[in-house]
Amino acid sequence: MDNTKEPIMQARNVTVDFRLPSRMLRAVDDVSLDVQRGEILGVVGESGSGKSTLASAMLNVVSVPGRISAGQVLFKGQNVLTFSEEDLRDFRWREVAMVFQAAQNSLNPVLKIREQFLDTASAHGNRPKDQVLSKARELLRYVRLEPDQVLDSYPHQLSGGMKQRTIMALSLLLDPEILILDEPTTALDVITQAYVMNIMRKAHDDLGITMVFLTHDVCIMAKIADRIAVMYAGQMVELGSVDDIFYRPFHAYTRGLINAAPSLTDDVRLRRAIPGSPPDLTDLPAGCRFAPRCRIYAEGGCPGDEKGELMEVERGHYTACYQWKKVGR
Amino acid sequence: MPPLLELDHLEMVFRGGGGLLRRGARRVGAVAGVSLQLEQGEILAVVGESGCGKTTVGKMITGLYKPTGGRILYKGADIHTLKGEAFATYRKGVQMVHQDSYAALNPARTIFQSLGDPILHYRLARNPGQARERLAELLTLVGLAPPQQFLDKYPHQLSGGQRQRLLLARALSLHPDLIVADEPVSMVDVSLRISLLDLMGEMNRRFNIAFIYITHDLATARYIASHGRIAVMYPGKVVETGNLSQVMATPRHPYLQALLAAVPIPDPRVARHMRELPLKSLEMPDPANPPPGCRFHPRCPFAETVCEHDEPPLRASDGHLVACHLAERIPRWEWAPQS
Amino acid sequence: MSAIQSFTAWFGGGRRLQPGRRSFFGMIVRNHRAFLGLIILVAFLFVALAGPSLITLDTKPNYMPGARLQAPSLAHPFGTDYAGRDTMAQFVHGAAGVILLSFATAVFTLLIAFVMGGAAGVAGGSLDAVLMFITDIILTVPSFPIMMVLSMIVTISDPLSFALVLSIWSWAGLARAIRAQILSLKRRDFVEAAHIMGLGLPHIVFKEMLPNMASYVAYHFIMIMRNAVTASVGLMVLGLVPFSTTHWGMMLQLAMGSTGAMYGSTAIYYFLTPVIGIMLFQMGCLFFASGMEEAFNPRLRTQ
Repeated sequence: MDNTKEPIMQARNVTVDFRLPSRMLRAVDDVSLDVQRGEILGVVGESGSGKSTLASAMLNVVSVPGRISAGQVLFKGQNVLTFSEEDLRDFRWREVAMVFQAAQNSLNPVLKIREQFLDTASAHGNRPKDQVLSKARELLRYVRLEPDQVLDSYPHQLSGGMKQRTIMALSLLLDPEILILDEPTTALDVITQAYVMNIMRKAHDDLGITMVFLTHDVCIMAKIADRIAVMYAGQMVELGSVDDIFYRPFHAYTRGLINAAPSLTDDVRLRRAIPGSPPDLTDLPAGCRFAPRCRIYAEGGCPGDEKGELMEVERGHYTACYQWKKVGR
Repeated sequence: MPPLLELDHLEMVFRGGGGLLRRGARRVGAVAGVSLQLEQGEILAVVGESGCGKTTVGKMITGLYKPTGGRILYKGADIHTLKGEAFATYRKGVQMVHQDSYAALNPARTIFQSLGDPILHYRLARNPGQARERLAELLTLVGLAPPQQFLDKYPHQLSGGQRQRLLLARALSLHPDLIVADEPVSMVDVSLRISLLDLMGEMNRRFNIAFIYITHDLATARYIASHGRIAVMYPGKVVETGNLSQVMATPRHPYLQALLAAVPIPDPRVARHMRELPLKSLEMPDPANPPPGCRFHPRCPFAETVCEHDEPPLRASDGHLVACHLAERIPRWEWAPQS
Repeated sequence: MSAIQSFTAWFGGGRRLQPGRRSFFGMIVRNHRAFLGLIILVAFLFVALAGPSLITLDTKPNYMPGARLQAPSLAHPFGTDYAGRDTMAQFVHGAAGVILLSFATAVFTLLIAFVMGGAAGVAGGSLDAVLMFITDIILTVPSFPIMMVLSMIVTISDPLSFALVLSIWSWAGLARAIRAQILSLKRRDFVEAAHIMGLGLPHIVFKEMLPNMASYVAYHFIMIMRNAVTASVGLMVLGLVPFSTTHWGMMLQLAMGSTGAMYGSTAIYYFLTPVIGIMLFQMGCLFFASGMEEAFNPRLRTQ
């Protein structure tokens, strides 16, 4: 993989399977991804893409009935998947922190926010209380919350936006090197969403944290991402700089995604939906998984029988589409 | 000819809290004086963030809530005075498409049962066989083909996009004049949203069905109501309304400008240079205790003394209606960044 | 049992089964415990319905020495009672009464609970308050003593009136539960949608809400049957409802009172027969009920 910057975390050929009562579901299929130190990486995928499962795999928190059946996850050269419980505890939250989807619900409703900060800190090592609290205050101020008001509140006393910002502050408590955020703004209003994304950008610029955003909405990545990875049906189908992805996509799905997103300034007549429905992960075609919905395939421009492997077609720009040249803008 | 739907100074006050500790029942004014009109076949986008009352307005229009003030006029008649035949006509004429397609379908019944009942109830089909045929036509109309494949399934066996189409089919089955769609695409994958919106647009053109599209997403509102109108709501009130393309071209209310600045733009170069409208605070006002004067003034970067005392009325400015004292004096909204 | 079948038939609405979809009974078969329960209950049903015609009840007392309180043998598989009569015949004839009784109790209880809880949940407001007040009173008064008193006051001479007495004091808890279910269903989007379409209250209650309560209701139906047996046996053992000598409860009472069964001797077989019968029936009910939730859940059926 490209190494213009040094990769801090790498997923190599990760495959995650789920065993269901009557069949097997491959949520992540042979995915390799490098996260470069200091970048903001956006992983874009809709339902069934496998992005959340991939993130869970990178933290080794894939829950039963899922199993990581192949691959490695390297953090600073060491394979996370072989870590002991103790190593994992050190690793999680201190090196890599994750903010889950609808994170607002991950706050304990019966504890004050102050307690939750203290709990988190003590779960990952011993630190003196006042040190933790002063750090918490600093972080809360950073996300433009009133520290005293928030620390003394219970989660239900805070609004959705406030909870989300509190979680962000919590995730930064132990100075992680990487922050993974899974749909951090889905439940938020537009103005709060823009604000939260700004804070994330600011945290990145000030603290040099590497960030990985998982989202189904490619639009919100346009402003702050450095690189974007696109996933479909468990595979990584395109990876490139944000400009590459938006201005010169090399995969029909990426192009379809961007074409299907209405914005405030475009010509509405140019918008096109992607035909068909999301992939059924238990019943995938043998060849290209996007073929049933692909315009190029429908026009006869591609046989659609090759599964597709990620290949570097331009510097730093990878695609799994063999007809990448035909994916015009 | 009266408008299809008219909201006349609509108010909805909920009584919350109270209880044993007797702190007094809290009056939550979810809707505080909304007046709107809708003509036959028109599309109106009602835009606002969560808590602004747009869903409550939708529920009042469909008759689920009884307004505590004001009237709702359907074809000129107050819906809460209708009885018998006239009321049945209203019930058939105004339908709703919910946001959560899974919650809006009975999980213990098949699609045929759920969608067939209304058709049989109103005698649009005389027996289950006829109902099946009607439904087959309807499902094909909304793009679910072959229909037989869907009729005997349960909701959980279908995808979100398919279920949303079913909700639309159900709403269409009674030949309504108006469909209230409350965030119909927000729980659907981005790549499918346009196709659902196109479908609604087609229903609007083909059958002259009016749509009230309730959403917090300005981009999809603009997509579906590009030839229609828009009403922007801020807790309990309409702050700007008019022809959508006109309003979007010259937004006059600071809140709308803030919203426009916040909507993500799928164009990196433009997005990186978009200016922000700095708001003084991120918190929406508490509907039980709204600020005096203009409700937006605590957050408004342009607020002046008059804004703290007097509530601005909706008045004409620049070709549409705005509720802001300073509408003419705040800077014009710039779309193109200086790059 | 047949009520459950008619439930499913009604909700099924005659639709065709699709491949990959299991019927209600298919789900029961897959769940081993529930299947075992079903087999037991069906066996009892068979015994109750067909038994009396296959085995004749022996009513002539036989006080010949050695004929009383015999141990099980080929001629008398369950032994004989204190009057030398075949125990198995009594057991079989009693089964019909027991099953009819428990079934009737379940039906009555469910009806009353449904009316009370349903009306309260649907109507809300003051009707709700009044009905729940009544329900709470009934809930707090202990049921067994009341039933004892009732059975002394009311002359009970057949299973149906017995069932009525049993059900009068057992509907309260279920009524509250049904009300709770209805209150939560009332707010669901699909009920709202039915409301918007003007489908009317009967439709909403019976066609939208009821299918979602089916598993809950079926489970409780079975459990009420089970409790009815216990309660009726209890009352009979106390000698309060002496209307039939073949009812297992009666058998138990006679065994305990007239034969010194609990102090040893071959009377133990006369004692054990109804006891084991009751145990088996209860087990059958419990096991079958454990499969109810699964069988009624359309999500699990279509996996």
